[in-house]
Amino acid sequence: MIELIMMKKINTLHLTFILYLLTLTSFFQFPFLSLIIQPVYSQKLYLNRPYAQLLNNPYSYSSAVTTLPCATPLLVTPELKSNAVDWIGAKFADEKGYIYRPFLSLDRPSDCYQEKYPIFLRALGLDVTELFYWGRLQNQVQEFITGETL
Amino acid sequence: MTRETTYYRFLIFIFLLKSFNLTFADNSQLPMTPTPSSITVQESELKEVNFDKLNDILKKDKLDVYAKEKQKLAVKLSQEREKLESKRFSYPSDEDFWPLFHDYWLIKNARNLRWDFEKADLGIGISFKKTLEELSLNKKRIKILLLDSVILSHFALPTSENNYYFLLSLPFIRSMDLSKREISILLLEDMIRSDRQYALKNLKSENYKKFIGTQMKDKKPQVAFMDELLLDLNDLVFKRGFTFQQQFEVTKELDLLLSTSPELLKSYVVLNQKRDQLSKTDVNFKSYSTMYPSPEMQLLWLNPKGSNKKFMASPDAGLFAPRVKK
Repeated sequence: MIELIMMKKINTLHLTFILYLLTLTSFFQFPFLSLIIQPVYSQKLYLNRPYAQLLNNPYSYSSAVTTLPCATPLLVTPELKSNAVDWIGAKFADEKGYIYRPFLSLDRPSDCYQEKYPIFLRALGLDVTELFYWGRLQNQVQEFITGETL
Repeated sequence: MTRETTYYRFLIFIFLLKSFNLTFADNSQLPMTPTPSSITVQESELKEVNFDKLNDILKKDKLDVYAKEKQKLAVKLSQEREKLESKRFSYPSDEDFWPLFHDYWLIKNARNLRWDFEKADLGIGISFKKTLEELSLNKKRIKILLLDSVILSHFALPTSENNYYFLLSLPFIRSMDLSKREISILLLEDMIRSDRQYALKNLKSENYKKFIGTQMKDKKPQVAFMDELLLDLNDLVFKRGFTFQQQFEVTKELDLLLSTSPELLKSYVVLNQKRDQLSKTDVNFKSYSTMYPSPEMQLLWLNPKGSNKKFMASPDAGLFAPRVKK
């Protein structure tokens, strides 16, 4: 196979098709495989705020499940459905909850304070309660830019 | 040069090298260890291999260029690594400092300011946005945080250009039963203060300026300036406030800005009347006149003839007025 690839007799399109067939057959033969692979295909989003919280319910004043730092990858969980506009169900490790959609981005943010100023932030010595408040603050602030739609 | 071409060239190079090897003299008879009478295999090869010719082949194949490019890339990568490493030991840049400090200040004052509370959506943001857009104030990045506290009535935190962070006490606007338009004007007044950088000018601490965007000396972080600035801002926000001169300039600028809209101007007069009354009657906001001196003077500055003394009816319904069923 590798030789064939080297000799350019198989291109990437062929290879993708073969892999696709292989995956399909394995799903039919071993249905449990799909259960394992499914979360891998869930959409991965990154936190774009210094700290933000996963909440128990999809509204700003709900109690927090956990407080997460910037650039934390979250998996969108389709089973946590929300009728609230701009709120989505997401999970990090074993923690599941709701988060405000504008706090997430498709690409890993490159401007996190934690990455830019790790030594300075550590020196500030914020305790757990203060980090909790930092995450909490994001849900309380109303933000907009004039001249743009809300 | 793609990876494949490089690979093929490498193969050709090996092939050429091998062919060179074939042309060498048969050294199998030579000893492996040096003896006084005969030369070793290595010495014989050194004599016979034409290194100049090999260099020519390398040049021809542009492998020397490739090696130089690789060397350059390695230097560039190490420089970037050094840069990233040094950035880790830096203080926040000019752009990042104020947003970071706002969060720090609000976290440290969370219990006093009581911003973490459940409130109904009063539409203050939408109304303020509309007012700004009516006045053609576009491309302004606004943040509004409502407080459930009487310790602070309203304030715009110091920020960089076109960024605004407004703090607004819900008990304060509820006590005066302000309408959305009046709240928008109240915030607009804070916006002018922010544009004129009065909060920044009124801060006594200047130590923080030495650290913004700089590297840590001996890689040891110093954060005492953050607490110094925090205390200074506390003093400004809760005690010192603004001067008469600054208030006069803000009032005059807002008067000029609102002169295009008589409705807004009328609301501004009503807002000042309400503030004047509140500061004189409500114990909770007794210090308001010292923070923002003074609503009474502002009324005079708006109309020197004194016709504003007569209390005007608010053109809009208050945000907290009980709704009468029709």
